[in-house]
Amino acid sequence: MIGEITASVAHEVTQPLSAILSNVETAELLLSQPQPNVSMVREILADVRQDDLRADSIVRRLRTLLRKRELQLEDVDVNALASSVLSLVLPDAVRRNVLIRTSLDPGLPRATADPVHLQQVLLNLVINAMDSMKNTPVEQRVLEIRTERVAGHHLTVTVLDKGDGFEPAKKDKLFDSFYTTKDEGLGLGLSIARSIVRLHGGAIWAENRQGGGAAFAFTLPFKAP
Amino acid sequence: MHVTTIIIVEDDSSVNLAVSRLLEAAGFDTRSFTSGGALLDDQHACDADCLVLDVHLPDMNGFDLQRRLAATGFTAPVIVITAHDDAMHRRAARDIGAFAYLTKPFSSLSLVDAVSRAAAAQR
Repeated sequence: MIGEITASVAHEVTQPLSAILSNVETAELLLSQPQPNVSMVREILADVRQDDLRADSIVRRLRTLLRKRELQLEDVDVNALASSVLSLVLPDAVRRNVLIRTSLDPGLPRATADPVHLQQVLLNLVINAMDSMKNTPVEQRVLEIRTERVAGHHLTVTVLDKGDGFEPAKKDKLFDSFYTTKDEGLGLGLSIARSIVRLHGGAIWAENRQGGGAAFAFTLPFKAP
Repeated sequence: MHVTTIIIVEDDSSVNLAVSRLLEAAGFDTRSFTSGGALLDDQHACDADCLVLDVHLPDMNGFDLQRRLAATGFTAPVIVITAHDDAMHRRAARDIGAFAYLTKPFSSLSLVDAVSRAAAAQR
């Protein structure tokens, strides 16, 4: 899962960043002394270079992991894909007392998409939606996935929840890397979801719902028949 | 004159060396360990004035290590350092009575300040 990969990478990359910061500040401390230990400063600079290269190699690895598969576009039945994601999370939904509803457009055209990446986007939105409802009274915990054809050659997938929603002022930040409202989140899920949707030529956005909760929606293009 | 000795337990060798250099440059004596077991095996662990403890160690987590040290009579204040800041870690740090909790990458000033205050409290 993207979340697990990024959690591990974020932890790994923090180590060299931490070492670099301590080393640089130690060098500053040494250089502020009347007779600086220049050979120690030289040693520190060599380590800073090493740690910088180490951080770079970790980031490269993340890029490779995310790009492990170039987008392999095919005609995807988005309704079937949504159903498969829901069946994946069903045990978790039952455990969290979340009721799942679907409203899938039966006339939905097939999208031109990479099904593996698309599944990651949907999974991320669905898990976020369930997370957002942890303080919602049990009888109101409803998650809904909607699909519909929109004007032009696009279809829309929307994940709706009855959670806390988001602060309207933070709307622009929701998809930024490392922005999170979760106690234990890294804030990369939505940022990666946006990258994937954009790679497909689509758009992703969020709205608060009247009566509480949020709706996260994205579009995907489909070929003209 | 009493020399203040700081024990560093950190499995990442770069961070371990960088923290050790920093604290030495700030005037402390340091002793470094890269695993919990290595520190537990050390006869002089209890002589330290302060412990800088990483949460993720290869053989045990830092909180368990602190509990095991405490059971052997180790009373020096503990400064927890972690690359993975979350509510669970903060709670665990509170539970072991950590003197300070620092999230990597932390400023040198915050570490030196925490270590100085912790060592002073110990004396």
